[in-house]
Formats: sequence, C-alpha cells, structure tokens
Amino acid sequence: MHSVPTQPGRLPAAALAILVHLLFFALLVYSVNWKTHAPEPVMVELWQAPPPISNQPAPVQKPQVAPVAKPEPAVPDPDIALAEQKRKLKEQQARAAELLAQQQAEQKLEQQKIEQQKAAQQQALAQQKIEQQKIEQQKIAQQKVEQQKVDQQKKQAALRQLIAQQAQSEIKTESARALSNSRQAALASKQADEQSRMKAEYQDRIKAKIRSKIILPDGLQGNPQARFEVSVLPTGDVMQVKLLHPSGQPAYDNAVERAILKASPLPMPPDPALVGEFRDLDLKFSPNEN
Amino acid sequence: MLALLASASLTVKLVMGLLLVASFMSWWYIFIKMFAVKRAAKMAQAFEQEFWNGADLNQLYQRISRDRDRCGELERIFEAGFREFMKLKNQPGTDAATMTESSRRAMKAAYQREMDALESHLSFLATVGSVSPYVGLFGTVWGIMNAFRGLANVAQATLAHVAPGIAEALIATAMGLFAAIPAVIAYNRYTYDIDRLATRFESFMEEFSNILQRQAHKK
Repeated sequence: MHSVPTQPGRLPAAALAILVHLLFFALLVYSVNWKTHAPEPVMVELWQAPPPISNQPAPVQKPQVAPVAKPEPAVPDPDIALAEQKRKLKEQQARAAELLAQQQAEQKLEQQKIEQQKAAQQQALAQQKIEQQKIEQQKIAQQKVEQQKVDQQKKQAALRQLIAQQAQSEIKTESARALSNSRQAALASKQADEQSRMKAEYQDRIKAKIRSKIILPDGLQGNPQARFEVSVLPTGDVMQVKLLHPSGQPAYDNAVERAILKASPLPMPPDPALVGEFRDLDLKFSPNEN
Repeated sequence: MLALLASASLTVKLVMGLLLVASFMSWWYIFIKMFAVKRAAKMAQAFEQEFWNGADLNQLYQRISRDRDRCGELERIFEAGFREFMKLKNQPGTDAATMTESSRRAMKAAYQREMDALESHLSFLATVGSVSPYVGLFGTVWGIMNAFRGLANVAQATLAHVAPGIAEALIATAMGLFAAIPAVIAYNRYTYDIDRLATRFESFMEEFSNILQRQAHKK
C-alpha cells in the first residue's frame, strides 16, 4: 500500500502563526492607543445675528445657567444654621442649669448659717434673757431673711427671664426653618418659571425665524391659518414637515412649508432637558399675524 | 485596549476566544500548506529534470525506495508505478497490456493518496474564511445590544455612554475579519497551486505509462 509521510514543517508553521498573531495584537493596541490627546476647542465666528423676538421684547435671553449657579450663596445652609442655633440653645440651657445649682447651694449654705445664728441667738436669749436684745436680734435676723428673700426673688426673676429667652429663640429657629422651606419652594417654582419662560421664548424664536423666511404669495384673501407639525432633531435640523390643518389656500400652505424647510437649523434651547420638548412642534401660521 | 477586552460581556469574550483559536489554526495550516506546496513544486521540478535527462530508471527507483519520506510526491508516484511494473515483469506469462495497465492503476492510487494529503485541511481554511466574519458579527451585535441596554437606564444619553461598548464589540468583528481574509486568500491560492500540481502529476503519469508500455513491448 502506498503510504504518505506527514507533511514537514509543523513546528515552524506554529511559530510563524503565533508571530502573526502577536503582530496583529501589537497593531491593534498601537492603533487604539494612538489617539490619546484631547480634541482642541473650536472657535466659532457668528456671521448673522439671531432672529429677533416678536412677542416678548423685555426679558431677552437670560443665560440658562443663572438659576443653577444662583442658589443662595449668601444664606448659609439652613440645616447648618439650625444646628448652630440648637447648639447655642443647649449651651444656654446648660449655663442656666449650672447657675440654678450654684444658687441652690448658696441658699442652703445661707439657711444653715441662719439656723446656726438662730441657735446662737436662742442660746444668747436663754443666757442673757434680755428681751430687747432678743427683739433686735430677731429684727436683724428678720431683715436678713427678708433680704435673702428679695435676693431669691431677684434670682428667680432672672431665671424666668432666661427661660423666656430660650423659648423665644426656639420660636426664632422655627420661623427660620419655615423661612428656608418657603425659600426652597420659591426657588423651585422660580426654576419652573424659568423653564416655561425659556420654552415660550424659544417657541417664539422658532416661529419668528420661520416667519422671516415666508414669501407671501400674491392674491392672498382673508386671514387663513395653517397648522403644521414639525419634527426636529436635537441639533435643530428639520426632519419632517406635516400639514395638520390646511389653511384652504394651497399657495400659502406651500409657502409656509418651504419657509420651514428653509429655516432648517431652528434655534434650540441650550438646556438639554428642554430639547426633549422640542422634538415635535405644533405651529400655527397665518399671514396677518404680525 | 486590554481594558476594553476585559470589560466585554461573557458572550463577546467567548466569541473572541473562538475566533482567536480559529485564526490561530487557520494561520497554522496556512504556513503548513505553504511549506508543503512549495516543497512539492520544487521536488517535482527537480525530479522531472532528472527523469527527462535520461537517468537510469532502476537507479532512480533504488534511490527513491531507500528513503521515501524525504522524496517528493511525484517521486513516490513514480516509485509506486515502477514497483508494480517490476513485480509483473518478474512474473512469467504476463502480457504487456496487463503490465502497463496495472502499473498505471498503482500510480493512480498513489496519486490519489498524495493529492488527498496535499489537499487536507484546505476545507478548514474555507470554513474559517466563510464563517468567521459571521461569528465576529454575532459578537459585535451582542455587544452593541448590551451597550444600548445599558443606555436605557441613563436619562441623558450621550455618545460617551455607548462608545466604549460599541468599540469593544467591534473588536469581535475585527478579529473575525482578521481570521477570514487570510483564510480565503490562502484557500484560493492553494487550491489553484494544488490543481496545477495535479495536472503536472497526471501528465507525468501518462508519459511514464507510455515509457513503461514501450519497455514492456521491448521485452
């Protein structure tokens, strides 16, 4: 039988195959790591002023970034302020408690003194049995006691004042909290306002740009109104124009459609959150609108 | 680049591994076939030159049967035919037609075995060439699907969210093409080369049969 020997060169072939793959991977790694530097900024020169705004002349294009950058840099964080106030309150309370304890200790001491004095007086009375002295001493003692009473009253008054102050400060923190809450609410509503205002503004801008491109046909009668649905890409390019409600005058419909296509990069709001609402525009046009 | 590979999903990794193995095997066979076909052409050229320059057939046969493994395909075909011829020649009572016919059959059988050995693994190259782009495409589609599914959870979709996923998925296509293109080229090239060798062997067999017939009649 005829036998065929195995083909030679298997090992060199395997080595060459490995080499080819190493080369391939080196190429891949090199080409992927090739472009590592960041793209350079692009300078743009504005050749034409943006189209004018028809309805809202007063609040023209406040940069969208403002409400984001604004949030109350002057007023410290309400939480932090609250914590501060609470801390102060605690300190005051602690101080008051200390004072109270001191006063009580003093009172005790004085009472002890008085008792001692009384005992001494009684002893003296018993020994001397002089009533006048007794009375005088009693008077003195009474005076002392009264004085002490007055002192006590004063101290108590001071204490009461302290407590009142604490209560007041608590009320203040409450009001501060309420104030900060209301401020946040106001801020949110302000942002919402800003957004809706931006929306209206850009809708006006879009309409104005389209209107500037309309070439009115001759022999137009009445004031026909055409309604269009315009699909827009996020870049502002017009993707599709659909006539929703014809005006009854085909010449005018065509003119408006051409104008929409001609105005193609429509002005888009810089805020990406708003762009989503500009995907499908429902626009109405009539010749005598402005 | 390596981070890209590492972050790919399991399916994409499996596809890439499969393609890497396929690519390695196909390149291995490409080099084996390259050596084999070149050697076969060179040896056939040398043997034909020696044969037609009027070398003694008996001496040639002796040399070839001494070390068959280091000879070329054409030499082994010659050896098979001549051995059959000698066997019949030594047997009394065989006519010339039978001698040439059976030596021709022996050469045909040797030729078919040699061709089979030469053509082995070519079908693997053809398979890799036609299938690996699809396998790579599958890996890419899978990777892109995952990339977009990840995008669904993001409120603000930007190119930066999908780009790495797509890049990593596209590596699978690159690998598929890297495996397929050389395999297709090599397959076409080697089938052509082996076809040429086959016609060369066949014409030699015809001519050698004529020589054997003449020798048989001479006796």
